[in-house]
Amino acid sequence: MGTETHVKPVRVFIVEDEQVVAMDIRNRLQAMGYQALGVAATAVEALALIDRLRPDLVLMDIVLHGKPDGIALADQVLKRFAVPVVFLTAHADRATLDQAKRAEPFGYILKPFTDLKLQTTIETALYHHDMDCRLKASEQRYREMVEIISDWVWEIDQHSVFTAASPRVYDILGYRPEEIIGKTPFDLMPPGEAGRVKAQFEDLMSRRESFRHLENVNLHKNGRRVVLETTGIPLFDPSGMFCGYHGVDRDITDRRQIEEQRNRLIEELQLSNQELGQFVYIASHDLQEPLRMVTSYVQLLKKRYHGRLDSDADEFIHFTVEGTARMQILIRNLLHYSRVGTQVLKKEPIDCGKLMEHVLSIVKLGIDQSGAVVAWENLPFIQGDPIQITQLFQNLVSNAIKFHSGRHPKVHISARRQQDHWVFAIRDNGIGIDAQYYERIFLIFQRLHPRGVYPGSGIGLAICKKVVERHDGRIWVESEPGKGATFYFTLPVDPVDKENHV
Amino acid sequence: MKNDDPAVPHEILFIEDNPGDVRLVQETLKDQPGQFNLHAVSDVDETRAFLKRQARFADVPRPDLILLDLNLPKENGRNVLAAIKSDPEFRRIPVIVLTSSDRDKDVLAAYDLHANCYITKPPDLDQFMAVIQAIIHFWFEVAKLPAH
Repeated sequence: MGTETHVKPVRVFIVEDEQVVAMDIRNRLQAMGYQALGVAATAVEALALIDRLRPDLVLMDIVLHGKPDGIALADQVLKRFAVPVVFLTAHADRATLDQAKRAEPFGYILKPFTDLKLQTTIETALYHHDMDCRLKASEQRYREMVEIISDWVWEIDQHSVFTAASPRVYDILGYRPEEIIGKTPFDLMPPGEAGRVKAQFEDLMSRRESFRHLENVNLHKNGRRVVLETTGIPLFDPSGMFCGYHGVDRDITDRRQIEEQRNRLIEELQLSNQELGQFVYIASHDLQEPLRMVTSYVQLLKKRYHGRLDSDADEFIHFTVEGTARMQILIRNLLHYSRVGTQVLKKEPIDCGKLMEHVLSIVKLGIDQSGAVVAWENLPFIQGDPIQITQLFQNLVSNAIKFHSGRHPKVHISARRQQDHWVFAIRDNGIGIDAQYYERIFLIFQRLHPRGVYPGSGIGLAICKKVVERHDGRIWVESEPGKGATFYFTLPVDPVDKENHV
Repeated sequence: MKNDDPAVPHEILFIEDNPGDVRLVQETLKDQPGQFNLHAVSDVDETRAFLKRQARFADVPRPDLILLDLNLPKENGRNVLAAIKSDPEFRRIPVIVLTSSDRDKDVLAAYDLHANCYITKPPDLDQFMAVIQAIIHFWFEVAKLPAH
């Protein structure tokens, strides 16, 4: 509206019952570049024309014959059509002016007046009216926002007493805004919480500080606990005096409940995992004892009576000895596996290059027997439990050597950085793994080959997976059967290292 | 150091509640008949009674060597160890902890309580017998024990 009026000529409507004066004004307006839309002599006529023509401004004589008078008319024009009115009057007496003021005109011009006076009054009126419109629109928007948003908008004075509250407070706390006004925020909280929040808030207020997401527990009118998240900024009056705060309260009860529930579940899960780990440990540990008895005595039986009973007995004893020996290995592995899962991690910086040298010395026998070539490059420092990480590398490297296809095994270990973790790759040229077994090989006691061909207990990769997961990483395999396999695992970048890279 | 008098056998007390283990040790000692007397008790009370020669243990000899299992009924082996090692009368008797546990915690606790040696029971018969042979060889032939 504002810019438009200045491009197009301003359309002015005149309400003046003295025709000569009206004509004079009309001519003078035209001469100044305004468009004089028309003239009305009575209020009734004026209302009809203004309604139809919608002028930008109305010049109006305060004193009109008949009803309503100029002041009443001006009031209607402003309210019904939002058109600013400038009064023209020859009567400058106090009473008339006071009365005129009530109609909230945008200006007065005392007759007789100069062109300059007319022009400046019209322009000032248009400017004020434009500002008024903008202010009203902005207030409207603000009011709508306050009503739309699910947060409760409030204002308190310098004594923390509510001076305003949006209707949303009813949905959140069960109080109507008028019930809130006069209370303090602390009146809405349980006693302990009130003290805590009050101290915190008074500290903020003493520094006139704004605050965000201050969490506080409140009581709904019906007694229910409501967790609010409060954000507020200090208020200052035009002279710069602190006069309170305004802000919003968000109901985060549901969110908190969900979070609490989630945390509880996580805790329960951790506890149950821990118990399971303990259970496996204790079970396998306690199983060892009776098994040792069975093993020892069946071995003693074999030692003393081999060849002294019949051949069936020898065979039965043989199978019993074999079975107990295998069971001992299984239980030992189960124990080992459960220890990897339950033992407290002792993390420290590990130079993976150095660690590989150590691993190589452990698997030296396998390397010598197979003629394997094991190479690595650019292995980083990481944070981890040295025993477990050694086990991880050792299992993967010895697998890479073990599952060879007749060729000399070639094993290559590398690492590349991907955001905040390292991706390690252990590549071999062995028999490879069919895609359908990519997941299964990481399960405990899963084997893909008969014991005689590739010996092993089926626990190595399960331990690898456990170690990687306990170090917040992932492990997977990619392979082309017959050509080799690459085992990948991720480990987080050492926090110290992270800073250096940034 | 050889037994000065081969006619006098070495007295070994085995504190162990599993008769299977006791028998295994007995079977091991059969290779050297007459050299060792193996006595077995199964808990803390019997141990005390044996050492103090009370009740049915009135006529038992003082042991030259004690084998101690940690996993005992009533009070565990650690307490039995502590009791022996804090008693001026018996604390010089070598105590060999012989247990199925290989936990660091148990090893440390045993040495803290002045165990003379900690051995994990091997799961294999031959190894088990070899360990028993090694124990008696070391303590009765290599080491010099205090005179009574």
